Amino acid sequence: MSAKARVSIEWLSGCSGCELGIVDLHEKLLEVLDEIELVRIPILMDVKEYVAADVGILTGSIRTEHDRHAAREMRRLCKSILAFGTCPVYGGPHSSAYPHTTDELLDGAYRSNASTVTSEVPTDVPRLLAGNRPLDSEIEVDLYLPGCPPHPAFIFEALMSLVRGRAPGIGRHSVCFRCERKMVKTDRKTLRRAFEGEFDPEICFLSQGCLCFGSVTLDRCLAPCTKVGVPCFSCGGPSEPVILEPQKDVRSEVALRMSHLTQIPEAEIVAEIERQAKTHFAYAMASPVFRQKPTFLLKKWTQSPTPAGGTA
Amino acid sequence: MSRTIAIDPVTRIEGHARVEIELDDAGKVRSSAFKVMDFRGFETVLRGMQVEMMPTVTSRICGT
Repeated sequence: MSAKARVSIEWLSGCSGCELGIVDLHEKLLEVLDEIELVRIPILMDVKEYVAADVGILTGSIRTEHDRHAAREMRRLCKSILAFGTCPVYGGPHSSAYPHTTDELLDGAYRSNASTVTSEVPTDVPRLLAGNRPLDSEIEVDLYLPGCPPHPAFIFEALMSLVRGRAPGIGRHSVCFRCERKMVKTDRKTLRRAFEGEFDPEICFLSQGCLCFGSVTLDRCLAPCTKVGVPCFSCGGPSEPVILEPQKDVRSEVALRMSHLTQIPEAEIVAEIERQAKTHFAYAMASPVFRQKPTFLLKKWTQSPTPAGGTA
Repeated sequence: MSRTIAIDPVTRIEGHARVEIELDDAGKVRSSAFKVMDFRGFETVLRGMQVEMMPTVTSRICGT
């Protein structure tokens, strides 16, 4: 057997849930460790420097000057780079900082935060960049694995394909492919939120008047949320047709599908998605995928003076 | 002679941190600081999101 592939991991601005995703390989982790050697993983090992490796895994997004430096060092020292999780691929949940300036974010956290004692912004920490960005805004990426975090089945396949030098055998379906709810036509006339009334666990959320983005979201999760009564919030990022086709836009796609399944007018659904834009575009808002589409108005929608009710 | 010990980055934790310990001439600790290097702005990000999304999105503040 040839020498094990050296794998180096670095995190940028993220939550470390993706590192936990690797641990969630469970028994499969032993199979992975037969073929790879972890040479750097800050959550497990005290290796402070960047080291040469065959595969570099980056989790988190580009948010600070340190993230930019770390990404460049990893690219310089690793033969291939895996963007691991929705953060490096599209920006992640903090992408929904897109409508705000960095100063507004600092203000919300430090200066005018009722639960924070200090009113000063920390100094002597890495400077924040103008916005939150995906990894490929800074360095070249060899393989993209969105998912928040990706399901271990996809993690295993992505790691093995990189180590063995072959194309990954990963499906290109939307979340609906794994969701067991049935899309049926109903006479539902009004929209409702996931906490309003009883939902049939066998029937598609769209059929029941509740926004769900599974049909325009890439399946990197095996649809755990809809199985437990939670509509898809698109944490894995847009589906392949949305990424590849300029005319396809998650807003109009969902509205059209839902209006066919129910009696709710399409325009009403479009308007509701715009009102809830900060929720439904949260994870991928920082991505240029949406800039060429009608959703380029994201900043305007999310700054609307009349936000939808029930906001946090 | 006074000196500063820096542990940068602190490993085997979630996220990025730096520890700085200042020692005086006698080698006694004069001051110590724990610096958190991350900032994503969740305080502001969450405003305007649907309340039903809070359990799924706030769990992404820290994933460990």
